[in-house]
Amino acid sequence: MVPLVLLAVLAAALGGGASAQEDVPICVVANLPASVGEVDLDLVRRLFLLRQRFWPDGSAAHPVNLPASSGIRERFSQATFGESVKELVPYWNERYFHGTRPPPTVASEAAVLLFVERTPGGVGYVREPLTRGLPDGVRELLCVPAEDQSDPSSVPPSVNTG
Amino acid sequence: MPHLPSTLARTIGAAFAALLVLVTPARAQLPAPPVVGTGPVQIGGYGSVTISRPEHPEEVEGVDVSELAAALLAWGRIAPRASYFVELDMAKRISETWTGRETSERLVPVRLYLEYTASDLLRLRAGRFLTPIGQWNERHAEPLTWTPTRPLTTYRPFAKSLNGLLVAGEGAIAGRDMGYAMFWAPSWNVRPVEEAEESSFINAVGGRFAIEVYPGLTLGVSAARMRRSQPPDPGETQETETEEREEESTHRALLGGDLRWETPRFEVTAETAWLPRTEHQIDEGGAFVLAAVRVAGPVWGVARAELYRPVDDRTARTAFAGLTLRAGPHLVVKLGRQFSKRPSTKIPDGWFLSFSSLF
Repeated sequence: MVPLVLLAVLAAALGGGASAQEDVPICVVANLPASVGEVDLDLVRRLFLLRQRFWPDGSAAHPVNLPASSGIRERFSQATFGESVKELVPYWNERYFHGTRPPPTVASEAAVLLFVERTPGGVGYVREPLTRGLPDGVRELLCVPAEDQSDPSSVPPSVNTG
Repeated sequence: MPHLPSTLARTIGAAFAALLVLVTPARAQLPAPPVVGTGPVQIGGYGSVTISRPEHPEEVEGVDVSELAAALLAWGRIAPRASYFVELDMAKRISETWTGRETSERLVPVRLYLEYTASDLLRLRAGRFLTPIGQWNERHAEPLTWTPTRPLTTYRPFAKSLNGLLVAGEGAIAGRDMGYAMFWAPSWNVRPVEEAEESSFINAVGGRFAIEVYPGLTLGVSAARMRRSQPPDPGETQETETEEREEESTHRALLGGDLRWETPRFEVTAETAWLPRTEHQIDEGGAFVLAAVRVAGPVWGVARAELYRPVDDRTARTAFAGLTLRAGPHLVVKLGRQFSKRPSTKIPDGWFLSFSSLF
């Protein structure tokens, strides 16, 4: 629990302004067994669009979002889907018509980390500094670069295969 | 084959390249999307009011002048991998006929099924489900469609809902999202969604495969074999007995194709469905193309053209032009003019205004 308290303090310190949100990469973290190998951005995209509901090992995936108003979520959406949170509304409206709502939201990055730690198969995204000292069982899958480096053709997302 | 003049070829190439640059990634809807319930009961729905003003009411036996429609959606998870889904449609329609105004009401279960998810690539659905032919039928809710009138191609060649089993899945081929759905429907529809306009299937097998060939651009193919009863002639509203439908039914095949190219600035949708001729039946089917372009903010300009034959033993040519305001999921307003050279009950010529909401 102590690392989570430290992470919460760090999250509060990072949440000081919009520029702080834009300066650091966003990293995808998940609670996965080691048997799940490499995870790429395409798999992350499919998981967060709920087009894929299971990890490659067959276990259920449980993605979690930050609130729609979050700048971090907006950056994650642009980097992962190529579309803003608002531009994805028609997609989610159509999925809603078939009985699927978007992944649930939690209020903060500390809450994302807590959710992922406590949920086998949980997956979320936080700013890179919060991935230092992750709890056991939670690992960083990949990071999307900071905004000034975010041209995906020039800087591919880093992949953590661990 | 003659060569295109090089300047024209370059212009077409540059225009195509420019369109590709405009395209942003991926939100295509694949066949038979899954139910992802997070609790035992979740409730939603949509409602709409459509008002129409026919231009030549004297040429048509009966035209709808208003429709008040609502649908109740309910779904949930009953076990870690098992879900259910219900769509109950209600409508009150006022039609103008030779004898005055008539009111009709309907209450129809459009979807009622259980779904078991073995994996992303294998889901089993049992019950009553939307027929996965083309794209429109599976996104038919008024707040999700572009026009207040529905193309004949999206419902006249096939039954809107089927009773039976469906196997579906989503995955990726070479990094491209794809989905499939295959159905088997052994029995008649318990009750067709709209008796007066709809075909019925028995012993139907078929399915649809769709793939996002480029971010935002989805292509689909559909095929089916079934015994099919003809939809009644337009204007004929009496219910047909199941035995009569069975006697009238004939073995038919259906082939279809669909395309959807979607970006934040424009959308192009096209569908075709065709029933090839048989020894006793002429061929039947049609195709439509729809384009929607963002004019300003939430306002989109929409145009649609359709060919379908036969309707009243002839080829029906219809077109639609209008504006759609997508103020958000809670309010969609559509205003437009449908043009039909030979108007009938199902392809009226006139103005349409609809308000709809997803809730």
